[in-house]
Amino acid sequence: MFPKILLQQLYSPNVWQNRFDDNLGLLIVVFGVVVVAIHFVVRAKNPPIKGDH
Amino acid sequence: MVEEKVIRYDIFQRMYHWVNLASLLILLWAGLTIFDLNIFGVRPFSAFAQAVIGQNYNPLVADLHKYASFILLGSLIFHIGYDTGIKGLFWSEFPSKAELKAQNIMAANFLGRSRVYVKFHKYNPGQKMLHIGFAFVILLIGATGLMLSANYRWMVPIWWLNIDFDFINYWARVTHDLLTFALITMVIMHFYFAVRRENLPSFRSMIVGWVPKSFQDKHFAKGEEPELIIPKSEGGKK
Repeated sequence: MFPKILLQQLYSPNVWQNRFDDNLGLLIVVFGVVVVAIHFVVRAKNPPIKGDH
Repeated sequence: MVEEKVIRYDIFQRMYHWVNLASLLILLWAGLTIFDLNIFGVRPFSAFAQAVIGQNYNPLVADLHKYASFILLGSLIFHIGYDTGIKGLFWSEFPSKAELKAQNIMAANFLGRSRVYVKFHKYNPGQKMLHIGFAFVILLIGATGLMLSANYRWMVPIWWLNIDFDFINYWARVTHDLLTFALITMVIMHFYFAVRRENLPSFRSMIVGWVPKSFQDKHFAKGEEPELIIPKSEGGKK
């Protein structure tokens, strides 16, 4: 029931003027960039295959 | 001395990959133009389309979006038919228990807690999960895209249900848009790992088809099971 109420609350009949997903979309992409940036920094410290393998 | 080669991707798999990329780039550009991306008042895609095509850019861009989506759909049908039907690949694209267990060792290596490294057969569990994620997200983006199109929404059976049309249209649009951003994020991750220095021969193999045998032996397990590489300082190689 709760998800349905939430969906009704967020629903806007003017579908092409709803802009709430622009900034949410930006956040999703920024999240991905932050994840790869963290991976890059951590792997720079701990390379995957060390010299003495 | 001629270096030995190990085939990683055949010509059909490589063609599929690059057709996929080309159609996704067109879909992305046209889609963000139709969506009229607006980040804090900046609308780069519609401004570009207006400058290049003119004020009435939407019909042409919508057509490009439609044609690219059918190229992608055809390409995906080919991919599934070829790789499962002819190459016999399906269950190997899901992470096995042994691989998931080995992924914990990779995580310890990543965090600097262990110097033990793992070689996987062709793809590690992260790559396999990303592939499953791509399939899931593209399927939903495709379905919601068809639902948004007046000509093709009959292909998605939800339209036969007794649910308010505007309500479905709205949520199909929001889902289509948000999953597109998720897809962009996944493509960024895929590209980042592809162009990392240690992975460059694998990336190159998506163009030429093969990797040097020395690279194959160093980075990939011989059989289906993951292999542990234990540093000499911790007891040598297993």
